[in-house]
Amino acid sequence: MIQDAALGFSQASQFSSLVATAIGVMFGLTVGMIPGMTISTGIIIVLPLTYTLDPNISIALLLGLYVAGMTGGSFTAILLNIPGTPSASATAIDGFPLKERGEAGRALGIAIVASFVGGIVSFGCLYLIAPQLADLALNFRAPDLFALVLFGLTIICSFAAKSLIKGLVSAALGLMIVTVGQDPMMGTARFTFDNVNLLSGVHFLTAMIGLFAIPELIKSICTPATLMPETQKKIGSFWSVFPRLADLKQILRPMLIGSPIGSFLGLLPGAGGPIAAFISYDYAKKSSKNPEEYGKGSIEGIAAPESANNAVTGGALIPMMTLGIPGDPVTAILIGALLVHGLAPGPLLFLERGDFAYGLIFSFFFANIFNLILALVGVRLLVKLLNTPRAFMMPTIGLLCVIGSYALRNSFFDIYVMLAFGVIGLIMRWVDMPVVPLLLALVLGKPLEEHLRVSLISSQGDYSIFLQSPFSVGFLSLAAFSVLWSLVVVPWRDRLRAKKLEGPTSQ
Amino acid sequence: MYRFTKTTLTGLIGAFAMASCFMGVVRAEFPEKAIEFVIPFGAGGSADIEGRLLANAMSKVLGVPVVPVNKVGGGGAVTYTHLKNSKPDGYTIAWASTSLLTSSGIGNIPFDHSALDHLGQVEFQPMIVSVKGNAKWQTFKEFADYCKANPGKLKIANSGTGSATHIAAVAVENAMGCKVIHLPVGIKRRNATVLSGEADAAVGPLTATRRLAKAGKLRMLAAPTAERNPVAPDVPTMKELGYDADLDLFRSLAVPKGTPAAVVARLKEAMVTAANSAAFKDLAKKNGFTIKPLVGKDFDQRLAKDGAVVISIMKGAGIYKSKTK
Amino acid sequence: MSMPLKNVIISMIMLLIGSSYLYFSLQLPVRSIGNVPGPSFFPLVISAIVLFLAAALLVNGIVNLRNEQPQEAEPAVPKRVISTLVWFVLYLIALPYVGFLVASVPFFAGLMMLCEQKKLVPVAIGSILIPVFLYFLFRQGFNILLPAGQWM
Repeated sequence: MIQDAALGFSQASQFSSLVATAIGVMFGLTVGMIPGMTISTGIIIVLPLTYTLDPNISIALLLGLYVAGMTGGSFTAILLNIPGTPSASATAIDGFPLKERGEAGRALGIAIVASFVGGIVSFGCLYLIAPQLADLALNFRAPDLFALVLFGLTIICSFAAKSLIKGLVSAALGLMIVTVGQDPMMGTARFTFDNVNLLSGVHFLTAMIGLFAIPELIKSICTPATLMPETQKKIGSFWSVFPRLADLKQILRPMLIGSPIGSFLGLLPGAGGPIAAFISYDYAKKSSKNPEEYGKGSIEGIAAPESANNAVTGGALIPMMTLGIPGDPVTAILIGALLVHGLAPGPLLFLERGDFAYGLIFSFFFANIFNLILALVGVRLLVKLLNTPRAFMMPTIGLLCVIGSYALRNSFFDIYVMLAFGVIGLIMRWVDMPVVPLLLALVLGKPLEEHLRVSLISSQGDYSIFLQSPFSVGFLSLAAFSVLWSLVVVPWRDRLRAKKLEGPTSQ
Repeated sequence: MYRFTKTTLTGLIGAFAMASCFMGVVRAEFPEKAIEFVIPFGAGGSADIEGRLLANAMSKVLGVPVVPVNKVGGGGAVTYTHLKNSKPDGYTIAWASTSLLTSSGIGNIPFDHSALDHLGQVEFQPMIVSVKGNAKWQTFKEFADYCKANPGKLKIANSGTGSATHIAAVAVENAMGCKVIHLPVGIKRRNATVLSGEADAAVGPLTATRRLAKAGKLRMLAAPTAERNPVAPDVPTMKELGYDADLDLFRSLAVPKGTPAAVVARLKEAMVTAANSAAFKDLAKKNGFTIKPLVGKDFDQRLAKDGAVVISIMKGAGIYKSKTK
Repeated sequence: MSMPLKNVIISMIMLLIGSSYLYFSLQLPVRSIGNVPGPSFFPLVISAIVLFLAAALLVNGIVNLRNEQPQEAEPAVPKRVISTLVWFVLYLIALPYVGFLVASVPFFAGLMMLCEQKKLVPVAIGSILIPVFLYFLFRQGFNILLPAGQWM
């Protein structure tokens, strides 16, 4: 294990990996910052590259993007009062007033440092918990895994939707789509209507490009130019971004609240950055000595949500690596990127490819380091990118959607599928139905069916097998609990949401 | 005006003619673009590891990218169906194996190996019956005896219903003479199911079993093969132990039916060169598969021989061409 | 359109999709390997879930339809949504014939104009340079296949 960790460290600290991490960070800061481009859009742009780059390099790139995207979102939240990504919504509450007082640099610095602390705390969790969880997960049998995946799906639904039922409908739609193609167990063609292209089914990356990028693209194109924000903003001198010691002392407590909350919520599939940010903001405010400052430009109010949303990233990597269960679109893509290179995330990853597993963990560490340095040094330069004309950016994203969906399997049919999912995404937004459950159902649908069927083969058709293992009973109860819980918590969350957050909880 | 049009037209025709000549020249030179290399099993398995390395080596020979793509499901059925439906231009090749014979034999695909063209065999390796490292069975005989005492209780994991490992497990089952439950858990879970204790044993290619066996997590009991493998010299063959089961896993390359002869020849050449490349040889030595390129008649013989073995195993278990009701 | 009304519409659509899915699931072949769930087992389970959820959403929508007054009218689908989709469709139709490089130029120019870029020079520069750049970046730089045209 120590050997694997050392190997992983040397892999992650190779020059090519470090360069990839740095590029990913720059890119992540940019897409996170630009309103209308989310981390998912950024990932879609680099997606085709991950098909051919070495796995450790593409993972380093993607991790850099993931980590930095969370930070980049806070720049626009602070400067323009528009969150660059949904996760930064809570940052705007105090970030924008502070900027209005002429302390933009200070606000940005606090956000960047808090992001770093959140990231490093979650790195600690990842490093300590992931190998242990992988060991535990080795004991899981098919019924346990079925129950676990089911729990993953229900908790995603209950987090993602204002109305639980719409989240569940979305997930069910995804499960229906996943059954199109050849049956994973026997190769029987299902719902293919004798169409050759449908035999291999819908790839979730194709669906993801359509569901996320196309509606964002169209929304951005449909925003009349006059409504686009005025982006010329002064930050102050180079050194104004570097936080003062007194500030650091003051934000220590909110960061220590935000980081564990973020790491824990990252662990739960579907919770994601926005929820973690709001919960820790709320909690930091309640426990603060001077809560009356919150909302008027308190640096504590920036530090708590920013540390939380970055801590989510490390937390989300834990179930992704050890169980193969993605908690958000980004980790879903990470799984896809690993699979393209013949690496299957799951409990065996640590046993069979421990070097790679630890390489991933250390790449995440470096991503946080680079994020701190590049954001502090480069923020003044990066903000200038907000002026890139939409007229060049949006069509480029359009082309990249097409490249990304084609290059995956070299199939024209996949491009059509991608566009069809774009239309589905538009309709779902129109009826306020979350797309994340559908997407994750596409990832989890196959394992769900396989584990269910293998369980029943193993028990020779006896359904009580799901009640015989403590793990399976535990996960099934958690699944039921998550459904009930979301029925109770939703009113409370709506109240929280009404305070500030507007827009989707997707990333 | 008239003259202008005429000149333009002549120019256009000339340009077109030149372009088509040029394209004709280019077309003659196969390959001119990337080749899709379809792998029938999932990431991290032996088919995947060996396939990716071979694809890489072939790419160096052919001078174009050879891109590995996993199309998993139905014990290989998904890949073979995809290949059969692909354009016969040489730009889609499949990393076929014994699973072509088995998945068609069991009825997962409605065609047999003659519906595809074959470049030939690349390598072969034994499949191994393994149990958990701390299992109570030290030898295969103990395992078989336990099975006889508890028929229908033991669970053996394989890479998918209709895959080569499934049929090898059926062969083992036939040889032991007692019923077992076959768990079609797929490449990703095959070893994991044994480690978690859900399955009592697994049948998998040597390549995929070797690493965990070396670490003491798995114990290799026996191999339904003709002779012992240098990488695992302690693992007896089933024949030595007095059980009649012999089915090796060969891996070969296939292209869609009707691929032009010149293209097939070029690919065959690339396949043989890649199979004998240093990188592939290193992997073979490390993981215990035997590189033995077989093309043309020799490979047809192998297909016929193994096909007959597969059919007899399936008939013995009553799963040959299990039709839809 | 009010949300309850949208819910009613979407639940009707889901009922339709769910029942056709159920119909096709019942048509699936049954294989005789073992006494275990076949290919149609999982789809049947999903059918039941979808139909139940759609019905629940329908009831929910109807109840709220009675309670709530219809809210302010939303603008109809903006023209630009349709235009963007039409550009995409035309692009996708052209791709298999003329390939990435040729098809991307008019598509790019079209989307640029939709983004209110009216000056011809930036449109020409952007719509030629960016697709060419992407082509070389992916094709040559990263060895990634791009859609090729059968006419080219």
